[in-house]
Amino acid sequence: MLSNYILEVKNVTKIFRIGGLIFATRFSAVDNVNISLPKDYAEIVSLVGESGSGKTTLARMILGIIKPTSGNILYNGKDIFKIKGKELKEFRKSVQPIFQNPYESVSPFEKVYFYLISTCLKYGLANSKNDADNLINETLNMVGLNPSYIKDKYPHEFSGGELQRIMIARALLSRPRILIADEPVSMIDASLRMEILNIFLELKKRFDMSVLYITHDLATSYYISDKIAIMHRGNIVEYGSIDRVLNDPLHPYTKILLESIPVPDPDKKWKEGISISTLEIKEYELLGCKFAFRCPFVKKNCYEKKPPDIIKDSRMVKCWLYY
Amino acid sequence: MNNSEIITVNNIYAYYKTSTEKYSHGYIHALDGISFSIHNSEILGIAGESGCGKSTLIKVLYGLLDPPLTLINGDVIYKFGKEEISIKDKKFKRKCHWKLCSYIPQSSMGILNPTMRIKDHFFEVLKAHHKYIDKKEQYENIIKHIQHLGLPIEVLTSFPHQLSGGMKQRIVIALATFLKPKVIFADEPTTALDVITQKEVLQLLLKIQKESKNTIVLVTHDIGIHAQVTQKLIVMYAGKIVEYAPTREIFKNFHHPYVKMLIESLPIIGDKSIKQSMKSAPISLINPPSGCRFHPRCPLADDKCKKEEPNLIEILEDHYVSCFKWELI
Amino acid sequence: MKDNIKYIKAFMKYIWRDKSFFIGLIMLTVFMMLAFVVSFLSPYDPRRWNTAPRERPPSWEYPLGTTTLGQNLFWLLTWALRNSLIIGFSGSLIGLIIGSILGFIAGHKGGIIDRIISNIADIFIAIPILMLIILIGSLIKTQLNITTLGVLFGVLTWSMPVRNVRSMILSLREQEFTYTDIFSGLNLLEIVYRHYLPFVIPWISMAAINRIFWAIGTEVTLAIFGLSAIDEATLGTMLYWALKYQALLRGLYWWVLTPTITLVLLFLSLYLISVGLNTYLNPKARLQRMIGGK
Repeated sequence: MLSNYILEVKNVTKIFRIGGLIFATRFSAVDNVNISLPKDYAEIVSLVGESGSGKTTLARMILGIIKPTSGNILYNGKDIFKIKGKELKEFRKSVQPIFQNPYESVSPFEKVYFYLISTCLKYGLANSKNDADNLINETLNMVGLNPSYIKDKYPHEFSGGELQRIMIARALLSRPRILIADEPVSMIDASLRMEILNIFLELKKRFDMSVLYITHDLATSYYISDKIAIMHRGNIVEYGSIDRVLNDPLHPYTKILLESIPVPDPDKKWKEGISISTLEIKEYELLGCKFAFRCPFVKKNCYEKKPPDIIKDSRMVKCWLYY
Repeated sequence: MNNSEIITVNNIYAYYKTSTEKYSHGYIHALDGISFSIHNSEILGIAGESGCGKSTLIKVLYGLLDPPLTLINGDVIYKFGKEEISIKDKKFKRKCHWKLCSYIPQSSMGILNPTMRIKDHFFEVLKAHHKYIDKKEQYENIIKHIQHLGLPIEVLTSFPHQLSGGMKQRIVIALATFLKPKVIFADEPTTALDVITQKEVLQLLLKIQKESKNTIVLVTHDIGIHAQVTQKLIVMYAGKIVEYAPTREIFKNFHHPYVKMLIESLPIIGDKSIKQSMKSAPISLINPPSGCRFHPRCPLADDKCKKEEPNLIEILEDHYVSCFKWELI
Repeated sequence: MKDNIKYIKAFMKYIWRDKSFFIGLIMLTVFMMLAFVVSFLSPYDPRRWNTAPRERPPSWEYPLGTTTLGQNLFWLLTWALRNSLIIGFSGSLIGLIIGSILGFIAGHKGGIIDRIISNIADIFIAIPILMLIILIGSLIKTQLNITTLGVLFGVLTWSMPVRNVRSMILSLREQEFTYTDIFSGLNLLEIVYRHYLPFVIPWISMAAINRIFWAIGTEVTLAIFGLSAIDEATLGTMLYWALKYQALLRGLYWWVLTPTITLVLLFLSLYLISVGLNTYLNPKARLQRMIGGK
């Protein structure tokens, strides 16, 4: 079945149960989420949310590491949880991850070169060690690293930025269609982040790679993305082109987020804010809109019923205000 | 010291002793010759990236000189009214902590006792500084303080685990300001919080400062926060101060290459221009580079920069830079 | 292969430096030699009565003296060491292997299998093993020999490792390096061998040594109650017979002291080895050495 999208996340929900053998509580980390990446061109989509918004859980489901409770995830039209063997290997080659903490992404007792060689040989990207070395050298150059600098070294011998670039190189070896980057620059000093973000822009321009950029930082997401999805407690509350959403936000949560960013310009100080003094409990179990307790525009309806996905102003927004 | 200076930092050299097998009794040069003064009722920010020494600086300022942190040289002198007291004084902690200066850490975990209710935390603070307290009377004071900060009274009877991260941090601020200290040190107080809560917590801090006119020293790596909150800003690099000026000057009229690269590499919403990153080169604090510490990454570095260390000089009123090439920026 | 040789060389260097580990290793080697080499050189079965003159104190001819039953304590000790060590090793390893495999399955598969295995293991942990062993021991007294004792200990102690290995596997599975491994194309066996084992092996070796302690010690406890394989020679049964014939009261101190001092020294050597091994294999310590070395 031909589809216009290379990746489709359709009505995906993930419910976790915490507790013992018999009695347990459930909460939905990801609630009825829809996202897609186009097939014909490369696009960088940001998934923005605070911790607890479900973005990491969603990323892991897209990578095929966690199974959704309901809904499907399709790659090139096929359900990724139903494919096996060779097809699964092809999927893994096409969708590769980058994680937040490069030091935790590798075993400290292993030379980093091992991961590069392993990826080459296991996915059949090279037939001999020589070929593998060549591919690795080429890819390392793509991220601005010198191959001889990398060989024989252990993870602790690199700085955070360097190690993260090595991890990106590893992910690039199989020339994937999509990179799933989960907070790739959060642990790197602000002055060194641009190096890595500029790599993502290069990858899109020169190699047609799409990136799903997951972060809590709106400023970096503005810098590289074409589209943005704002997540709050498991729901995508607004989803559209980056300029629309960030320059003209509709959802109250997006508006408050934008107002709260500390802009590095002393001439653009914060406006006086709304003080929230509720104890912020049990937002996961609300029947209605999960932002109701903190929303300055909240009405009675918001507490009782979940708002649907509404298309307005060429983007999706999940709010009763626009019904 | 002129009248408005309440803390003078004199030539601090603070190192960490390391004892790994190769570098036994080597030192990590966390702070190498730091001098500045903090004035009354000012909001001072200390910015810098990993390894610059800002956390060490705050620890030294607050008198937390626990091994392996050693104060090799220099002193920090507090001036309250006519009295002067140094952090090296044995009575410093007992006299000053919580009363004259207090400390807000990055995580509330170190301060909040999970087995005690919040109101008991307040009583503990009181007990440490007054021999006899009338619980009833003091409880009224505690309630007044909490409400004044806009927090709900229910928090007093709660345990820490029942509160969210943002609420806990606000409680820590309430505790730190309860005895109305003259100086509040905050070490990355909002790094663990989400962006919306961060704004609220910082605005709370600003509100307190406006009313009690005390001094706040805020350490964070987030330059955006400095722009929003602080009046004066110190930028540190590899254990040294590279620029020290009113915050607006640092952003609009910087004169140090590191500060230039830092500010120009920040992404801003609405600005689609391509930003450049700094060259990455790990700084070794065990064997720092000769001359100016920034020279391995500086595009303007020449032979003089590699051999001599620049001093912190006053180039404009209240604006200090430590760079030989400051005029070129 | 080259890497393995490097590891062995580094290990040798470490043993040389850590003196207590070295001493422990030497002591254990001595005991192992006595138990598994010297014991086979005995000219007669030392358990047989009247193979030596009775109640002789230690002398050149009889280095550790003789018992009331006419047994040469020296040869008896070598046999006893052999049997005690066999009980120790088999009792320790059988239970450890069963428990570790079950713990691994429980941790890795999760879901219902995990819950079933964990709950059964929890039930067994709650049962006081010593009581159970005494009970079983007294029931099958006549069929107790070295093999059955070892197997008994092994089978009854499988439950402890299940919890520990399961929790280690659970936490390792959530580590991001596991995901990197998956996306580098490694299969489960390779992930376990290359990246989990460095974390699991230190624990397993410590557990193995502790369990050897426990197995030998429990056998001694049983023996003193007369519930061990009394006709076999073990460190415990030596004590049993010595106490039965009131050796201490009658001044035959060499009969009591031989097994006692041997036990103490054996435990000491095992302890020194376990401490040294832990300092060497502990992932944090390894990391420190790696970082410090560069």
